Amino acid sequence: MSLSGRGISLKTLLDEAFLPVALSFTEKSVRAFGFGAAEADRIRLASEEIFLYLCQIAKDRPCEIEVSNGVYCVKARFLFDAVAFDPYALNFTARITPDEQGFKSLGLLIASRSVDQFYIQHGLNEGIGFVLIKEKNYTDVADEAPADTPVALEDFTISTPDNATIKRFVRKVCNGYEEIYFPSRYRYPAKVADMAASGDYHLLVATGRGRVAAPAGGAWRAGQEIGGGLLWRRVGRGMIEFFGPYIFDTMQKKEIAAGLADHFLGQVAKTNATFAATSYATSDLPAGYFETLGDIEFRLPGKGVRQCPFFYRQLHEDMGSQVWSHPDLVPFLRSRYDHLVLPREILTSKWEGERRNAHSVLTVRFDRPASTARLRPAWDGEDAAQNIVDHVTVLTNEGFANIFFDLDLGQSWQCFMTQVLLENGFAPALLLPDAGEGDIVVFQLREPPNGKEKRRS
Amino acid sequence: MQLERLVPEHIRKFEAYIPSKPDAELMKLFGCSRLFRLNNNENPLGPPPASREIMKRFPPSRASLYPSGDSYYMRMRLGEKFGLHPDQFLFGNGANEAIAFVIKAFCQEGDNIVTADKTFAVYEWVAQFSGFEARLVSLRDFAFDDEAMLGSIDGRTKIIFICNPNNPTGTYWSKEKLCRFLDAVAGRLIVVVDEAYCEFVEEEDYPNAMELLAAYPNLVVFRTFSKMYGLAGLRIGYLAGSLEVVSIIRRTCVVYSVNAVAQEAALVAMDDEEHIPRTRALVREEKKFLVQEAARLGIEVQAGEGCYVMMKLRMSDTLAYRKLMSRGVMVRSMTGFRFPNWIRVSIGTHEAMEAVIEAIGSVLPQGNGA
Repeated sequence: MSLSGRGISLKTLLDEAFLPVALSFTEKSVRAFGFGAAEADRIRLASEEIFLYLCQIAKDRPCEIEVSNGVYCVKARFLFDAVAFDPYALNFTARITPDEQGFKSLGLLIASRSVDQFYIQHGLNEGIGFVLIKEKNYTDVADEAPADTPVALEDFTISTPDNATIKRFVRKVCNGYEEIYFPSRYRYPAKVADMAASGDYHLLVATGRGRVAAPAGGAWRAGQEIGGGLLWRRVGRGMIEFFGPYIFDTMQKKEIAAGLADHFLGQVAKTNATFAATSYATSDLPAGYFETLGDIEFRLPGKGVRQCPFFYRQLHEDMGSQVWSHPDLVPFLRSRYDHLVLPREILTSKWEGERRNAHSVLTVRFDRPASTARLRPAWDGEDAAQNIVDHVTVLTNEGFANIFFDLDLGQSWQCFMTQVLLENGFAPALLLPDAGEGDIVVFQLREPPNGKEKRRS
Repeated sequence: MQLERLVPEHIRKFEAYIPSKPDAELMKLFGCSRLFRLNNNENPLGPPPASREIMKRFPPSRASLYPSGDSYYMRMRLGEKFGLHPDQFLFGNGANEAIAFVIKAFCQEGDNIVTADKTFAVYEWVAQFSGFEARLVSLRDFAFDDEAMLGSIDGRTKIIFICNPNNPTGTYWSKEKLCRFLDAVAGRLIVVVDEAYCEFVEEEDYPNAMELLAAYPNLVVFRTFSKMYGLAGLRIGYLAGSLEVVSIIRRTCVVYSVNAVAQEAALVAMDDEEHIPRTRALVREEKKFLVQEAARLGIEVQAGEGCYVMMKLRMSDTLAYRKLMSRGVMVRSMTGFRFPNWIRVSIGTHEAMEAVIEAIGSVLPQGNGA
């Protein structure tokens, strides 16, 4: 067992005899990091399912369990080697049938239900493993009552806020902006403060000497007023997702919004992210800073459908590249590349009967609070069409309202998936330049699987 | 394999610099038939004639021999030119290499360097990928802020980097200001003055830092043959400092890193008395043209010393970069310099300046709009 920084790890064997050790480790680590019994129970339950599943697919192989403290969340990773292991078992849907094998595989589904996020990681950098994320329960929701929202600042400076300012900022955002502009999961002041403390999220606020705009003629306050702010986080390898800008000032709206954008871009410009994007832009997003990528139709159960415009900005000069595409996707790509003035040479490829692996592997990232599941192909195989259909069926039955499929144009074999996606209710929705090995096309499931007869081959 | 476990934390976060592709590849991708490269502040006149002759006549058989490992004749020549000892100079494969020499020589775990937030990026890069903190001080009115820089020094600060004139803003510290700053530092740490663009400056109060070495033994001066002397493709630059300081930096210096052609071409370049005035005249004239034309288009300009001009567009500079590339004009987008929506245009030939103005005008069809 080793402890370093905010993480602790345990090396064990994938043998059911060690299950109590593994569960005790995950549960007690979660508690030791200061999380409550509810979070520890959820992680324990999910860990049990994952460990038992791994005992079936990679019995007696070594496994390393890492539990790390994300301040606002706790993350458990189950890492194992790929020796003597059938990668097909990485499919979330692998053999979900009423027979004995099916019950073994159902464990992944149970695990996913117990936590906020669940995904399978694979890659040279991170190794192969299952990842569970459970967020801390925050009961102190931001006040719903309208408060001192509009302000008028004499001047302002932009800086990284302290905890008290973060909480005040979040309350102001919640009072002034609906969920379509500021997601429900962020509407907990203490949670956002913890998110910033974790280093996963970053905030900038504009503060200055000012007065409350209403009632008119309020006296100047000695203290600082918050004129606006912006929030961002890193997503995957190359993307920065940002939220805002949220502006409360009535006199210098444009200046504050531009100042926030300048400072934000200045802070992320020298990271290894390739672009910044948002689907939570407000009407104060300064003109000329961002390009439009398109819209995504986003469904929230019980709250209807919302059309989310995506704004985007490259952080580096685009050097141009080659991308792989199935011929059927070329018209979409041409129109997107022309619109974005992106220099791309499109090379077409499709399956023409050559030999393929027997089994494909898809990874799924669950985001239950957002009712979203995101599929990504990890390996190609002859059963890719069936595999995609099976995943969609299971995910739809699980109640996910938003199902996306990310196709990486930097990997030629992923072209083979295009036709299956198009024939099974998916449509290309967005193009994210340089978001993977190459550009990524985000397909969205438009028609539920029951809406039409599915093609399975 | 879990490669991430082998990679130090500061490298994981670090962004690799991806240089642009060769012209032929870029023209193919962007669909343009010609390309004006105005992104690297190169001399549009190229190298002096004597340097060209060296390149033409370099005997191929000498390619099998190592060059002088420490640029011997160059150091002798510079010693004569500046009245310094030849051992006060160290050469690198471009001045960028000299930045790494200095940081490696003086910094250890926990140390930091101080520089500006919006300046030549390599000081910050080298410090960070070497595992040292780069303390970045905001510019004031586009210029290095001396007071704020002094205020950010602590007991672990080892080096201050000053780019004079600053790339990309073109602002500079006068001799009086630089001396006042060096007096305030009082020899507590190394002060690097990067004079990569010094030969372009014609202002009388601009300092020649070489002349200050005797008075300030903690001063290190960077110079390059990549800009005024048009030898960027050969990669040769150097640093100068006191004998004591240079003797320490020499311990981290990579020898044999400057090739023979570069050494010989640079040696004769310094003797060309017409090259600098000719280049200065071109830069002066074309910069004036560019600034006037930008004003006509309603574009805010930051034009100081050096062979470059900054322009603020009311659109994303990375989008402007792509649009300008598709019109055969390559500029530097400035988001990476922490100047979002600005571009930097290197001064080039009149044909190139007309092309850049025409291209900018066409990507901003409604004046300077997005």
